[in-house]
Amino acid sequence: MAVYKQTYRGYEGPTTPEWSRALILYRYALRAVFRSKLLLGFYLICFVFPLVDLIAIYVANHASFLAGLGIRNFFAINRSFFYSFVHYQCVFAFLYTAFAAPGLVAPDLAHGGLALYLARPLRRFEYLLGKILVLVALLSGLTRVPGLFLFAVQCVMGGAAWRSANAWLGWSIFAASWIWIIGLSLLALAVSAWIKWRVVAGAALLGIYFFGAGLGGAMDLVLNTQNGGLLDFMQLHLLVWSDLFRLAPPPLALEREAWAVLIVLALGSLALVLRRVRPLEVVR
Amino acid sequence: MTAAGETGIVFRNVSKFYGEVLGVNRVNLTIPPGITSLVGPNGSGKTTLMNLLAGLVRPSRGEVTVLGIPPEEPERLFQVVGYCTQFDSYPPGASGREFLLATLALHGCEPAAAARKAQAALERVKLAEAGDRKIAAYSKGMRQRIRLAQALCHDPQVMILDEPLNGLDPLARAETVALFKQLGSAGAYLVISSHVLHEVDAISDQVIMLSNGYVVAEGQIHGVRAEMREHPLQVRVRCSHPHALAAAVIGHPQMLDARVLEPDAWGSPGLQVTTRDADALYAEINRLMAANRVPGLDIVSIAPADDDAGSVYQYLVGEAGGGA
Repeated sequence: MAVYKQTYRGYEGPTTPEWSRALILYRYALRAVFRSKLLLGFYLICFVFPLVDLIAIYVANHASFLAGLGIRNFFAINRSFFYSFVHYQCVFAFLYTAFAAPGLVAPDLAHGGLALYLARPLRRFEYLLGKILVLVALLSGLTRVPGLFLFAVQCVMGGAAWRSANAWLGWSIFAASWIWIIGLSLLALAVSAWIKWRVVAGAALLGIYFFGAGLGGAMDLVLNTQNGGLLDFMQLHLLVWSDLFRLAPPPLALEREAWAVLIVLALGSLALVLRRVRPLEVVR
Repeated sequence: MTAAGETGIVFRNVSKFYGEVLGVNRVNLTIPPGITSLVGPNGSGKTTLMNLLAGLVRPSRGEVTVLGIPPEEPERLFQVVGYCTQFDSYPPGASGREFLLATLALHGCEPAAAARKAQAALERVKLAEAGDRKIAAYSKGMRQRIRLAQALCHDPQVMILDEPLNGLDPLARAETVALFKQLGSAGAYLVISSHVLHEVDAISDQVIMLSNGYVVAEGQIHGVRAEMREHPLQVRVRCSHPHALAAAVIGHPQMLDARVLEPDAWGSPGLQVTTRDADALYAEINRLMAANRVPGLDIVSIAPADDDAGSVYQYLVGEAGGGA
């Protein structure tokens, strides 16, 4: 008969708040992303385009400088300028995500790490929140933050008249970036959760982008329609953004359909992630 | 926080099915403090039982509570539970210490307390010197020890350890077993799965034997063996005159068989007696010695030959258990 002295005491000290656990995962995952020199370098390269646009804003607002160069018709800083900025910067963000996102969930699934994480005071929701926050932070840094910064610079340089006429553009940049960030983060997490190999997951994400665009284009060509854009991840967003930026509607008004496809895509991605991210993989 | 020993670890009529595949069925258990070993062949339900205990899978039927805490409350549950899985999974590029610090942060430890606990856990598993090296550079045994450290570092009252001795060299094994015994005797709950049955004997306060998803035996190994009346006990007696002793005991009504053994490594001959009642055999030998019925008889040792986990397991699970 064993005699238990009952001297063992578990930890009874203070603990950090429950809500902060997701932030710990976020912090560690973000650190892991930036530990890669390749990803850090790529991230910095993604700021070249905002830098070029910043110079363009400066030049466009200095008529004397343009006159000195003998340029009379430099492009205007308006809704089209910011629409183009969001468009091209989001392409960079997508490429960056294809490299960075697969490392977030795929390794945990490949090595049984989820059992390790979820055998902690951490729920599935908090695990996913911690991981998605990394993408939200990275993509915000590439899209929302520089977009709003450029807008703020233009507001200062453009004067009160420009500001009062274009104040709504700030909201457009903010909303367009968020739509992209949420949709892309969920899609990337879903791909990362279902494909255990990082390289394959990254390739699959790029495949979704390019294959969708190609398929949409082929569909338009063969069937002589313009609905193919609904299969193109970028085109879907452009359709929605053209509405947000109050641009002339495309020949076939598909904004509502594009909104519907984006919502279905986001919910579908979320469902896929939730289905996959479980403490144990049960193989029947 | 729930106090240790308040309600123990309780399985009430627990069944777990993976679709049509049985994990465990109708398990009723109360696991007391100390070291409890789960023994069974591959696919017998050991890991399912551990996962149910850790809240990683939910029972299809019945309920599990750990110190009165249901698995639906992970914040409370995992403050008292530490789980060491079989999986070799670590944050990429992390050192042993960083891994423990991340684990402790997830458990809600403040940085200063986490640093202290990480150091203590590294010392416990004898990895203090290697703590700042990257886990990727660890040997298999060191990885096993860091896994163990992450299960112990937050001072849980319940430790669920899946094959914790795998990959350890003999010295590390002995040190780890000593650590388990220290924790078990202090009143912690250690639930261990192991395929190495002689180690189960050496470390366990009680065993739970599983076969095909059913609990086939539970309790202290000697108690379980004593309950198996259909399998008479084998008692091995090392002595100077085995033939004479065999002739003297075989007439006793409780003795069924006596077989003379080859001399052991120390040159001592022996006798293996099959009996329905080991206590009756011991009493009979005492009587023979006291009455000097076997002149010159010198008993070197008397020990049961088949009340260890391996024998009990073999009797209960039979050849199907060969994988364990």
